[in-house]
Amino acid sequence: MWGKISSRQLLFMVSLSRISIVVVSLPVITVTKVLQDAWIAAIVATAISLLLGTLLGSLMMRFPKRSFAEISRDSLGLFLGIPTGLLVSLLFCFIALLRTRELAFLLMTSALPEAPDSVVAITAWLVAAYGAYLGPDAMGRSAEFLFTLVGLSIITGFILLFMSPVRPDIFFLEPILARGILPVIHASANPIFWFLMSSGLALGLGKYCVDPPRIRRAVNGALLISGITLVVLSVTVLIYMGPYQAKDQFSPLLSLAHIAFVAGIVERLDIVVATLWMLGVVFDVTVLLLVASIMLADALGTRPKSAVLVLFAAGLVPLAFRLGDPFQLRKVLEPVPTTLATVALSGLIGLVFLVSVIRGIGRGRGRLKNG
Amino acid sequence: MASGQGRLPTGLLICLLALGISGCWGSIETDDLAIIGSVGLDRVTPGKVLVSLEVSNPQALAAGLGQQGVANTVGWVLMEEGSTVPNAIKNVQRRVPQKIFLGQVSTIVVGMNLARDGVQPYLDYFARENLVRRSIYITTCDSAAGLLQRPFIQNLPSLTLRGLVDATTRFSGKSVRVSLNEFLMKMAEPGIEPITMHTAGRKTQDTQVKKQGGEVRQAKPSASREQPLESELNIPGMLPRDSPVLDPLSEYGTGEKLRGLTINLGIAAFRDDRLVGFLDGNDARGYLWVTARMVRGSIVEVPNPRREGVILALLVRSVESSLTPILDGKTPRMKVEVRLELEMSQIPQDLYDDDLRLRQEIQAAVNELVKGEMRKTLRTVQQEFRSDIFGFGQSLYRKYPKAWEAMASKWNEEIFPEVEVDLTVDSKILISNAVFRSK
Repeated sequence: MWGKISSRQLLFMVSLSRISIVVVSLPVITVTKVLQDAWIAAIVATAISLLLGTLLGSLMMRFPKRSFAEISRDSLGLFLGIPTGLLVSLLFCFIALLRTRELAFLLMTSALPEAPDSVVAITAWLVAAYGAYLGPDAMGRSAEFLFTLVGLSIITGFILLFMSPVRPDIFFLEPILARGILPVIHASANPIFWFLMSSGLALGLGKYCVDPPRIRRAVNGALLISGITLVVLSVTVLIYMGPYQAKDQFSPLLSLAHIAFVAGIVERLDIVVATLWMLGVVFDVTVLLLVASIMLADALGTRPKSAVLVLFAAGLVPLAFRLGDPFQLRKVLEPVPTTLATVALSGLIGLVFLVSVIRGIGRGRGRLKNG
Repeated sequence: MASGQGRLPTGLLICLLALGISGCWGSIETDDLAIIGSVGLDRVTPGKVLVSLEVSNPQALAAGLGQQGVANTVGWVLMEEGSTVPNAIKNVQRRVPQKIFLGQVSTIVVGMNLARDGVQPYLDYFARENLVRRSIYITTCDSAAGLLQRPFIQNLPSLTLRGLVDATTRFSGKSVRVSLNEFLMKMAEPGIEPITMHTAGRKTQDTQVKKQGGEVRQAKPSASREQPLESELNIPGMLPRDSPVLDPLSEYGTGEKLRGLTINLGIAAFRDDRLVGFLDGNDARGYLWVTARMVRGSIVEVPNPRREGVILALLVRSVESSLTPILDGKTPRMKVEVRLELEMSQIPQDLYDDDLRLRQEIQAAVNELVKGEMRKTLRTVQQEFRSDIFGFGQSLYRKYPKAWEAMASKWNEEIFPEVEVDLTVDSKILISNAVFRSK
């Protein structure tokens, strides 16, 4: 049986997951042509995701110590509830696989050009499966350590960038909103989806949280921390690289790290960033696989550890056969598909929440306190 | 987890992962790497690029120049031609017994012929290649291959160039250092055009020997020549192909000693990705004033306001400038305000530091001098180059984005040359240095 996690560990897990996704690839800059307004799109995305995070947190607090698969079964009944749980489980598993492929591509083009991408992907998948097998408590403890490491590295990276000979130009952020607000909303679609996916980790991990009344605060806290990080890093990339150059990068933060060097101290900051990103992605894949397994197990009524093994085995097929390449992945992450996915996922959560309220299922926070 | 249950999978996973930590996939030892210090790009055949790679010999570098023999050669410049940069590098790889490694490249040198035809397709390789840092510096010269064979003081041409980038741009006040990132950024941004440092290799005695039909004689074994595999290409001002890097202080063609083989002349101006002209000496200073890239420590020389024929020297402490676009007619105007702080560096004995009127007169003279340098550079850049290296268009785009949309397509050719520039210079002499002469 898996152990429990604290709400603080939940906050660290969600923050890390989101930072590893949106920070290095900075989709707010690369996916659309919002250019110098990318940082505004990051603020919009954070604000909208806080609203969605509140909805999600409220649902989890209404059903303490239950996963989303169990909640949907309780609210929608077996006929609709089980497929809903399975659908969300598969979505998490799909995202985990997508991220594993992304990791393999980046390593193949940067650090390990000789290594076959499928070997990198399968190794990462194996590590993730092992982490998921150990359960939420082990991942919670790792999150505490990794969060500190990533936080310190980001701060150190800023110091090194400031010390390097390259000078930023704050006027790269001008003209503000010259193309109106629509491109900004367009650009925020992708980060909103990732925000939702990260905060969605609470749909599975909330079940193992020892203090359910604090789930909403933990989720929103994580969204705020990662949102601020996203805004700050977007601004940094824009003022150091210029919006037109930044938008054409596979990973703007990695390209920025190529610029920063302090002679005699750090010559290759990009390697530090790539290593951290690798750690972050493997952690993210692990947590995604863990949540997918929890959902699958709860939907089908099996043991979560067995679900981890089943999903691990199922994931080996697309990874071994190298399904999907970076060009296809970029298409998947464009505003239209991500908006559709956001609407579908938040629609499902909203539907379950609404039905539970109408049917009077679940316990509110006050009643939970009273036992 | 129950202790007994988890041990087997944990142990298996550790064993599996341990296989991978003995070295990365296809790992290569440092001794098996041909470390490239600098890359040169030239055009000899239309549509092709001649890539010169400076391969360093770390053991010889560590041992110093004192010893004789092939093993003591500090580096070689190897060249091959190709339609693309990566293919030319692979052509060079055919005769290098180590893997060519670009992770330590510090400078890219672009020959004039290639620069005039456009550098974007070739720089794209360096932008995509993850091993190459974007902090590396880029320079334009007459012949990249030639420049890479002219080390001075430092053992290797790449170290010489890197030193030039750092020292001459920081302390001479007559050039500018431009990283690959800055070049790519300016190429991508609207309303601003890229520049690079402009360097030149002095014509060598070897070139003269070749021009007179003589054979270049290499005096030391360390200077023995390799023969290229393929094309026999030669660029004017260039040493024989695949020549080893020469001794820093002597030329082996004649044994004559020459100094100062690579000079940082000024700035090379581009339009889009094509070289359009050079700003050397005081013309470069005009650019540096307008863009506030004039560095601390530069010298301003002005005539003595009290006596003709005597020159005063002032040291620049700081420079600030602002570009303000004004859109009140059909053609935009630019207001350029430059503020600089100076200190006395050399004044004649009969002038006194506590003479406030004199200080005002010198400041007025400095203002006129700086304005004059800026005017001259502006005229050259606007009328001859027709390339907005100052970023007037960029400031216009930032302030009037809608108006910029209509001007963007004809900015460099039609509008920028006609832009009127109002220049204001405000200089202030702050200190007199170690001497303060009173009346």
